[in-house]
Amino acid sequence: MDPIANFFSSEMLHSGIRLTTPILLGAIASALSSRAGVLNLAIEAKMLVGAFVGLVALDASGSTFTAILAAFLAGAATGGLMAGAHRLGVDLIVFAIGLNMLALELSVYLMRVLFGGTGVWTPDVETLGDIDIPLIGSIPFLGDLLSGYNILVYLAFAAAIAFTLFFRYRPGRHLLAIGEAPGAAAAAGIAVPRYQTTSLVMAGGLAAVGGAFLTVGELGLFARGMTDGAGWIAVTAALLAMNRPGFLIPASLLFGFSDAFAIRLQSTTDLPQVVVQLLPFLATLVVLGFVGYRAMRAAATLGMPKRPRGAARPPQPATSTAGT
Amino acid sequence: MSTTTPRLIAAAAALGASALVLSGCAGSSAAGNDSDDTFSATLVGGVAGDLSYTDTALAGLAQAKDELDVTTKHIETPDAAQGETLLRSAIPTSPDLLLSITLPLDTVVSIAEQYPDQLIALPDQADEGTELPDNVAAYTINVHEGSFLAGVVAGAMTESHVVGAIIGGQAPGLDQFALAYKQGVLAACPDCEVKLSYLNFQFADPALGKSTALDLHSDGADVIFQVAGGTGTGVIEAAKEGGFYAIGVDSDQDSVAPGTVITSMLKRVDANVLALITAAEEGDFASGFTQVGLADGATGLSWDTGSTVFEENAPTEAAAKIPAVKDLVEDFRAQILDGSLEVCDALNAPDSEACAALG
Repeated sequence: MDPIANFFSSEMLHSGIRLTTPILLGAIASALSSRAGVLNLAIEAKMLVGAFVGLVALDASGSTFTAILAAFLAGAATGGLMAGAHRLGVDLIVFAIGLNMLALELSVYLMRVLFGGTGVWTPDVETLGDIDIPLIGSIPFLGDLLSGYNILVYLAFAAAIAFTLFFRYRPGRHLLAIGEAPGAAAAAGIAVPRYQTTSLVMAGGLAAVGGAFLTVGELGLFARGMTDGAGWIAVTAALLAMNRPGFLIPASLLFGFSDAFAIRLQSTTDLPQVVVQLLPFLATLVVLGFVGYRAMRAAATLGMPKRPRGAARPPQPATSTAGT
Repeated sequence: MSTTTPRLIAAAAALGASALVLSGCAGSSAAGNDSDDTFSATLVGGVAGDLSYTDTALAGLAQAKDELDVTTKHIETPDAAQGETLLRSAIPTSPDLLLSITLPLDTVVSIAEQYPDQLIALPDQADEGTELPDNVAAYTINVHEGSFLAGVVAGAMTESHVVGAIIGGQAPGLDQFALAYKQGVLAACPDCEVKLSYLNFQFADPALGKSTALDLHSDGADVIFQVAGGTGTGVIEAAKEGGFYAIGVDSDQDSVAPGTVITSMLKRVDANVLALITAAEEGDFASGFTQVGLADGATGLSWDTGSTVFEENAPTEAAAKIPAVKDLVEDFRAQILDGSLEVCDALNAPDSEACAALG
């Protein structure tokens, strides 16, 4: 029992949740875009934009709220750019790769020109404070898991839950329809372009807040390419969750905790280093195998990812049973 | 909309083309260097501002520019995959000396064989037994003795008797830092526990560095040595925030967080850059490998170069310990230099007795 308690130390849980937060926000952004029928590979770019703009705004205003808002707006603008390109019929995959490269180099360029830091910029700023939840914070295991993070961590998980609930309402259902069959949705009178634009703008904002979490929430510094692939991991997490809102949190936790586990395993066990680093990937492989198996089963049902729930029921109750 | 699309694409294409032309201009003006008679040196590789490895090499380049009559240039390789292309593209600008860092040795050798008249110098290259062509000179910096001294500092400074190290990945070149550090800690503090935390070759992830450092700290570590490039800035940030100490690497990182970074384990790529440029300019370019270490001043502590940042900014209690720690370091340095103490060299002699004792 003791080694287990030692392994799941409060610091390990905190590390895992902190590393999960940007991935989760990015994964919501990716899933939201996918549900609108757009493969959004520019999550990494939006995270970097958010990380950079957030820190610049924090340095300028001294207010973390302004910083997060600025990051959200900058990300939303990037998302808007992507939506505009989509309307013009630009290949979004190429566009996204371009955006990723642009964000990486532009952030470094601006950092050098504006702030003189060549590779790392460390302004004198106050990062977000941690919130201790009064009662829950004192419960042994649960308190460590749930209490003592900054506001963005709670916001990320709240966003994931809100995203799940969103699909129980009419706009969410419309979005689902657009993602599955844009032509049919348009024929049914749904404003497809408007939904796609809104989704991309929201996705941009969310991913940027994920980036701002790193600079405004955690580190108070900006380093070249500091998201280090978190945006791509977010895209992968969303794919692993099959873009199902309910699976986004566990999929993100898997990736977020994989590094925390690897760190922790080294300090508590004598397992060889290579094995420790392999474990998270092994876990991912197992989960992907499971997902693949489900997809094969789904293929047997004429390519529908799942059997439409309540298909036998008339359509009106399906949209109004949100509470049940 | 269908009419605006082609026009837009055309506009974008024009923009892209003009960008290409502009970059072409930059290239041709660089080639113009060749016409004057001053000695020119071009460094290819790394990314400026990593506060670590590349910055050290650049410091050497800047020193060469100041002290010798040479023109210098740095070509960054943010993406390792572009390294070969960028090194090749530097050759037509015909610098008198081309310096390469971070690129794999066999890539450099194959380019050197294609251009036998181009002198290429490698200021930091592990000797893997490859035969070098006549136009290539390489310096190997053995960092184990410097890392040992960093370990001595950590062992002497720790209050909790638990010290940590965060290493970018597990490879012989990185273990040369890590195992010697461990040996140094145990030499200064035999009952200390040394926790080595290896990452998965993530050298640009400060958030991960911070998490790892906080995790080590939660296990009691109060001094953490970072050997993780950009990830290491997160380690120093964690130490600053959590009120424990860090030891920097490669460059003098003492002033990244004054009073938090006790000292930095230097890898003097700058000295090698300067030495190679000086030799090439004076016409005694010597091809082949040259091994340098503590005795040559190629590795050591930031204290050796006169850094007093920690003493001036640390809490008085910690600062008061420094003179005694410095004496201890000098003691061990003398033992290493006169050969009475063997430090584990995980890169060149992983099977030595000194390494075997560390497990």
